[in-house]
Amino acid sequence: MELVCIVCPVSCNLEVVMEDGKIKEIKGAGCKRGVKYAEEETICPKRTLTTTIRTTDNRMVPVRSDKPLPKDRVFEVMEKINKVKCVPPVRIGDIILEKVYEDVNIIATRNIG
Amino acid sequence: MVYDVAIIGAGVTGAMTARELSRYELSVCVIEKESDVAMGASKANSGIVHAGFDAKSGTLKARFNVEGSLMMEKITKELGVKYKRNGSMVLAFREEERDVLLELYERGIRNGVGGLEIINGERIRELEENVSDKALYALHAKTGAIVCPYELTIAAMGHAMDNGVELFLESRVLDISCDNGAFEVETTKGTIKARYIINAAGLYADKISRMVGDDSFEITPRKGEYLLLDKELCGLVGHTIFKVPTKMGKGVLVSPTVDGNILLGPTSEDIYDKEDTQTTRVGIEKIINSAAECVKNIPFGSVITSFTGLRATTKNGDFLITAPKPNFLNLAGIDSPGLTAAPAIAVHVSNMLKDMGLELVEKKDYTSTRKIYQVEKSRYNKMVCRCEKVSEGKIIEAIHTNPKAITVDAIKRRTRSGMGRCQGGFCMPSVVSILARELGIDVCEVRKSGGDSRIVVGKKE
Amino acid sequence: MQTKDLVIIGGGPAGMAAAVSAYGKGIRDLLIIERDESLGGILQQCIHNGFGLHMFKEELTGPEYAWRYEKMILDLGIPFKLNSMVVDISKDKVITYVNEEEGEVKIKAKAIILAMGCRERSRGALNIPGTRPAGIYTAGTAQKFINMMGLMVGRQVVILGSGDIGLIMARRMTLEGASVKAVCEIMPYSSGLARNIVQCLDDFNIPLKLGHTVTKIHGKDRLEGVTISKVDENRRPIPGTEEYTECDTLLLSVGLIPENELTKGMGIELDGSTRGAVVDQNRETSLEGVFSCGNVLHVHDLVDYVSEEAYIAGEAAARYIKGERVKNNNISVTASDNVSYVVPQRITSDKEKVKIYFRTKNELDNVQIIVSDCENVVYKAKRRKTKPGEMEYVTMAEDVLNNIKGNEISLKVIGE
Repeated sequence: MELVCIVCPVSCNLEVVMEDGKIKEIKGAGCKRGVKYAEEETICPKRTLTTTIRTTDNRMVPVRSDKPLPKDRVFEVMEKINKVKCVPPVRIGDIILEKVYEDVNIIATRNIG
Repeated sequence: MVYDVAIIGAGVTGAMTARELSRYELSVCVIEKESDVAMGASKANSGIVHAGFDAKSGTLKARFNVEGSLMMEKITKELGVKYKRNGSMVLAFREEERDVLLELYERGIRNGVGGLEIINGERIRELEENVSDKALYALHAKTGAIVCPYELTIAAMGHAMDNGVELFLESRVLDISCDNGAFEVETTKGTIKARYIINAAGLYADKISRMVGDDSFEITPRKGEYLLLDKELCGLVGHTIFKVPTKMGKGVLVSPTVDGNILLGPTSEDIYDKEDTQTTRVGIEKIINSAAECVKNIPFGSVITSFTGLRATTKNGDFLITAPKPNFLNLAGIDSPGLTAAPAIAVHVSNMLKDMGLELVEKKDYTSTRKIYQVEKSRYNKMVCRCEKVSEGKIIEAIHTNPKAITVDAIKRRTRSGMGRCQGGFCMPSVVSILARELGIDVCEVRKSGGDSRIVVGKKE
Repeated sequence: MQTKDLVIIGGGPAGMAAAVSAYGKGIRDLLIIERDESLGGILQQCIHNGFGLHMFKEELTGPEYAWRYEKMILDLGIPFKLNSMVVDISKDKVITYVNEEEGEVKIKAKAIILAMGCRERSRGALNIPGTRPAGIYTAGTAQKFINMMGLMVGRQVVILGSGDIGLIMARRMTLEGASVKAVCEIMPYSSGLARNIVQCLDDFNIPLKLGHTVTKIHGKDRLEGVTISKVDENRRPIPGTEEYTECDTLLLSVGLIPENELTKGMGIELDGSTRGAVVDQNRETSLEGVFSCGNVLHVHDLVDYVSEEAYIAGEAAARYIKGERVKNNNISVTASDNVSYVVPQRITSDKEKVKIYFRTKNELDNVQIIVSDCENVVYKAKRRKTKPGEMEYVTMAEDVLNNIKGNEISLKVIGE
């Protein structure tokens, strides 16, 4: 299986060699994180989710998941996020929504006074 | 109520006529189908105040062109709009074309145009270093000038409104009937009654005239596409540069605009669809090739926008100013030099109305200058559009000054916000917010132009 | 008139990093002038992650990256003006800005760092035929509407241009419930990062149509659809390949242009390829004491490189103010075969190693980078692959600089 590494902008071309449904070898990774990415992408692809949440006084707070989420859970989590509003002030790093999926939290990425 | 006069169409002809009539004790209204004034040919033309050598002697075009050209400087001063007497040149590239220049020269003299001369290649390059080396002769018209056509129309209508004229936007005329000496104009927004009607409906003047039983003429849209170049090219040419004219018009010109851009165009193509303001690949290529013949080194990579205007032409080629029915006036086929002619046509119309029995008594409280909405001074230091350096103050002013801007494009035409090199990329979100706030509407209701041209379609939950 | 040692025009990533670095070199009488209501520039609307891997060794979102620098500015007490637009800079370094509170203010500066960023190419620059309805936005404008104002610009979207902002917006619009029908790219390759094609398009099954462009706009009031055509090797639409796609929104991600109107006004020499100023290794322009860095100098792929460049400009401006800047050389650097541009375009000192940044014109494999003076090859390097969308650099050490013959070197690239 061929993959493009998305860990960093270098975008290495990776090759995952499978044998009996298991990973035998990972080629092309420029760093260890690429190897980890290839493993994860093969078994359970994950993504960091970034979006916004409206404040109660109608401003927008940019947020992200504090860890990558399984790719196929992204829309589910978006729906949860879109149902809430947050109350300012918000500080960068504040948890806005706890455990939206397993141990993944949604945190603010900007200060809103 | 019954208006004394209802003008159909808020282009430059309608607006100038409204302004002229606003000097008198009359109730006047203007009925416009679009969301702003100057939405037809008045928005998309070359912005040239023609000297007057083009039109055949003895035609209405010749008469009103020369008269209008002489009036324009004073009117623009009164209205506070930009005007520049930059002069024009008609280029001849072949020896035999020199005869055409001579013909134009003589016609100009006959039409009463001053400041004409025929110059040779050397003199051309002295005046304009970027004009093609192949240009052998030119007719140099010192009285040629430039204005911004929609700025002029907006200001004229605004001034008319300051003096009591009412403007009904987004009111398309559906039918006209005559009842007890007054006309009933049925529009998409209700019925308007008036004693006199002036049909200045541009492309649709034939349709309006048919509503009162006159099917004597037809309007054909003549499509003209344009390219506008970045202000960084200001100085490429100073004069308005034409080639010798053909049957289809004056051809593609290269001209500075009063705002400092360079305008290329128009193409000229008779079409059937009166709504077809699309630009085309063929048209754009035609402009590029034709402009490059006249002027050297045009950096076509600096095009910031393209647009199309539809000129309302009649078969015989002259302006059509008639009264097919009592108290009903047609101002039709006002294509080039209509912009130049508009102030003169307006005066002519008021004389015609007088002859038809309308009493013209000068208003005592007529204000000779426009009423500009007062905005807090500090707002003029808050910049919204960085390319054209337009402040929030100017935008608020445009929303509350006659004729009031209700769309993003209307603000653009009044303030130039969004008209610069980024074409609204940076300022549009701010303009949308300001419009919503000042008009007291939701941001989702803010439109780019008329109809359902909403900028945003909804809010994030 | 007020005077300042250093005035920085723009409080985005370049301006903030330049200020921090000049401060670090001892400059205290400085000021950042920012036109927006907060520091951070375009980063504030780039809410996606992927920033900071070089600079901070972690993956941050745009606002988080901006905050790192904003915090440094606040902690160091570096003064800044917000909502203030610089309207003019004269050749003798008098800056005129306006804001609501102060009106028009003039400041005379010893040194200036230009960090105004860039703007997006608009529809007008593309001459796409058709009507002019609502619903056509640059990707960045749409990004501002959605991320900063919480407003949806449309529901059915076609994106023209596969630059990174376009790719990011494809994902963003999809996450917010819009249907992105296609991303069209006129070139045979994408100018965006491969990782963005994977995580913004492939993840959501959004087709990337390489070698395609939008050839017509349809709709009177609001956009109703676009015609998409295949293009030939000269990027001309191929007749007969037209396909109509219904959509209410067209986003343009067709390139960024450094915003050098102020620079031009000062008579500073510009480079036709970068559309930014011609600079030396200090990022000093042709006007002494005026420096330029970030996207106003040349468009960068990564904000990390913007910060890096801003450090160079900030330090150099500090040296200039303190009278410590050395100019003992004047070598011009030019782009040769397969290279679209180089920065810096001049080297004015041989005391320090110099990184020369460049972009290649085409996608190439097994690449050799060759720097030559009038006689010899002075430097060689190799790369596995180069892409126009990804900036490259070579580092020229002091001894290399010392051995250059003549006053010009050229950089070329050979590849497959």
